[in-house]
Amino acid sequence: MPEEVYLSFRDIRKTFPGVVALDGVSLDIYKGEIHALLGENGAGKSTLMNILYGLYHQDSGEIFLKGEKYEHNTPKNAILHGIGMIHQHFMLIPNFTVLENIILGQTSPHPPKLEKEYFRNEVLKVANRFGITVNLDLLVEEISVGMQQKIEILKALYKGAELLILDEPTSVLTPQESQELFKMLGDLNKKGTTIIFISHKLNEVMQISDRISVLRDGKLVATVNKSETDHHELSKLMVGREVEEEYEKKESKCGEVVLLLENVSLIDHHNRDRRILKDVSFKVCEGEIVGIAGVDENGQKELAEIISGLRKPSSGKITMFGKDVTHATTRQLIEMGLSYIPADRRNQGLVLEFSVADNTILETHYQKPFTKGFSLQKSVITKFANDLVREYDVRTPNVRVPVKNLSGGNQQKVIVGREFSKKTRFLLVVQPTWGLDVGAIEYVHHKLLEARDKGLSVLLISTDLEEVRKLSDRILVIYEGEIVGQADAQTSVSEIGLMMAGSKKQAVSL
Amino acid sequence: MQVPLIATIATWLAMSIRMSIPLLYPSLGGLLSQKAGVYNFGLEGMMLCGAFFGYWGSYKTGNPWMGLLMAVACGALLGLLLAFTSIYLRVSQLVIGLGIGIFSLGLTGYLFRLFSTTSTGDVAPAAPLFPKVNFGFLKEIPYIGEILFTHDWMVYFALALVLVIAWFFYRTTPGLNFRAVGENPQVADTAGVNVILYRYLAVVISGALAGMGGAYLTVTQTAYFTENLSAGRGWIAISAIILGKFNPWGVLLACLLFGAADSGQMQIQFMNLGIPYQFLLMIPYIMAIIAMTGVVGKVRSPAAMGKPYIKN
Repeated sequence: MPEEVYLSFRDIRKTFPGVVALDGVSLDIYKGEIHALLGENGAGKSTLMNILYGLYHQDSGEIFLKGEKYEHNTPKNAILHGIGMIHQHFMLIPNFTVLENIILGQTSPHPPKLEKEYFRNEVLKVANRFGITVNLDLLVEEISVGMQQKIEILKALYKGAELLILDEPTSVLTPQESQELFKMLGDLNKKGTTIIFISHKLNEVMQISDRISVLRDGKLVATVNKSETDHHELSKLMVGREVEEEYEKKESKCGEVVLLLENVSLIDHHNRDRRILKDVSFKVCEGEIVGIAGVDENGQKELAEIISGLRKPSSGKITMFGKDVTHATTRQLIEMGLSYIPADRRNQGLVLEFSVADNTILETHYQKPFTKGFSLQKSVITKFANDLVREYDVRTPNVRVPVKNLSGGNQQKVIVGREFSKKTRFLLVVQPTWGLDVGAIEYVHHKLLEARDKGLSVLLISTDLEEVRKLSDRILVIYEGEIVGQADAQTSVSEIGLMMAGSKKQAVSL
Repeated sequence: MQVPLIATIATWLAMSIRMSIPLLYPSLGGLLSQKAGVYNFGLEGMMLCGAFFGYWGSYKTGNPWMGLLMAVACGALLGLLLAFTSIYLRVSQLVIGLGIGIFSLGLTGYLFRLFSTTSTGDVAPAAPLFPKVNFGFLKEIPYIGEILFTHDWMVYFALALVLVIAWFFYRTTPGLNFRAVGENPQVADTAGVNVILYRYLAVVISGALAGMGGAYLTVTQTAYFTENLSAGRGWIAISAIILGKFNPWGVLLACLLFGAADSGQMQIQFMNLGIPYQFLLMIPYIMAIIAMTGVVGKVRSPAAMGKPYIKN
């Protein structure tokens, strides 16, 4: 059966200052297929789709929609042509109701009156046709992230989308919610919706798509049928070389307890006394990596800030190296041997306006040899920074450029280099590979395993379950500020997923 | 002579309404602007200009309507200035707002001196006022009549505006779009709402309303202008918006409360209780501070307020 081409890109080129984001990409999307765009961060997947949706404009190249040339790409025009896009960050207003969010910008039958009842029926008709159950009267902020995503999809369908573009849709979901989403996408697809699915996760792509296009460094590397490919080939296409699927890990030798949390709680007095952390207790020993898995915004950030002394817990006790550090300052903790790689590298990990060199000594600048008396020793600092840049392979013209000019991966290498080159005994690592490419991810992972083998203790907090499973000796699962379960690398993904969704709890012993 | 307590209360309430109106106009103006995501810190300045030009126009033409028209035009013009600089040039909304305030203080003070010394020496002439609305027999109802039916049309118009704005916000499609622009302009834009147009309209109308509030002072109440006549009412209006939790009805209540405090302190002055009047004058401002420090609990302001919208 000949496939009908629904949409085609012809030689699309797009540059941003200093970067070629898309370099002559040509691609056909068939009617009624689920087409995955696979590639690493920065490969150009989102850029291509943002051009289609009209958020950017291509420098050159053409787009054809249903055989006709599609020009004047703007979001409004995209909606008119039946293109709907679900962004990574939802386009929803939290204190509007679901209904208000869906009908925003629509013309009512009797303007200017807002005919809510009319719209409610219209929206429900669409929801029923596609088998989506929703409560239209809840505020968006009251519903789960998975539900919010459904609302986004319903919104696009209501506006008449025949083509749905989903940009990394599972990054905010639990494994179960992801499965639910895939089921929904499958149903929509059966009813005739064409779907473009952007992802860097091989499993998802292999599960859901009919055809897969791989992008690398702004170029289309290949388009393959799912039935004719496998994980191995795809990862090679995506990265351009062989990738380690699993790491070889030595048996962990658990030594003395380095960090001990006892019933740590945090109450947010600025937000109706909401409990952000609830009786969190666990320990981390020498020579082990403890991973904390969980969906984003379940208290991980606050937990890290409490352990690093940036915040004080409302109650509970924290012991580090046998000393009560509940009220210790961050500097005291650093001097005791804490290294902290924060999730928010641009705001907490680096001073973006400072040079690379100054960023490499952020926590130790006042110590010898960087400072003598009152004056900073510029030559010592420059040498130290040069060594670090070489050792950690930071790609920078020199160490005097502001760190904000570096790419995300290189910025992270500056932080990792800084934290590893101190006299460190305990590593607190949050989302260490977020936004990095596969090469850099492997690099950071190896560094962490190396540290563990040297007898350091590592607390890894990450929303990337694969990462936690690959690296950790023990896994704790956090849900709504509570440690709800314990697992190890052998525990199945679905079981950890249930814990991450809060639907399975078990007592956790210290 | 002993005045019966109930009569005093009736006078106080009637006065409270009168004193709350010059807050209500700029508050509603500020509410419109803030709901669309733009801080209007120029309310005080726009009000002061409105007060002066209202007075001047009314005096020169002998017609308070002309004064009001000038005040509205002047407020709208300053609103347009704020809109252009903050939306198009993306200058800090705070800086422009404060600039408008200082500029207006200087301008009106200067023009007033120029005008009052050239015409009749140092004594400024009185401008014609709007008459009170004649409700006939309704005015004769004891107490109620005095409280509700002894005002000029601008009082009733302001109250009607509350109703219209509430209807607009919560019962119309443009109102929904309008609120979305202040919450998340990007979402509104992708939904096909003209963010820039809504913001311009909001800020210009906001200025016009602030100008009306100023004119209310000179063309219905004082008939005279003095330097800094608005006396910080534009600032109290901003706290009234917060105290009213960004809801038109809440803003009305907040303005009535501030108005009651203001007229209360006037009445206490009148009773001659021996409290230095400077202390009494502080009352509305102290209330404003208390309101700003969150006595009303958590207030949720429009999420995109103060941020210029930058399109890719």
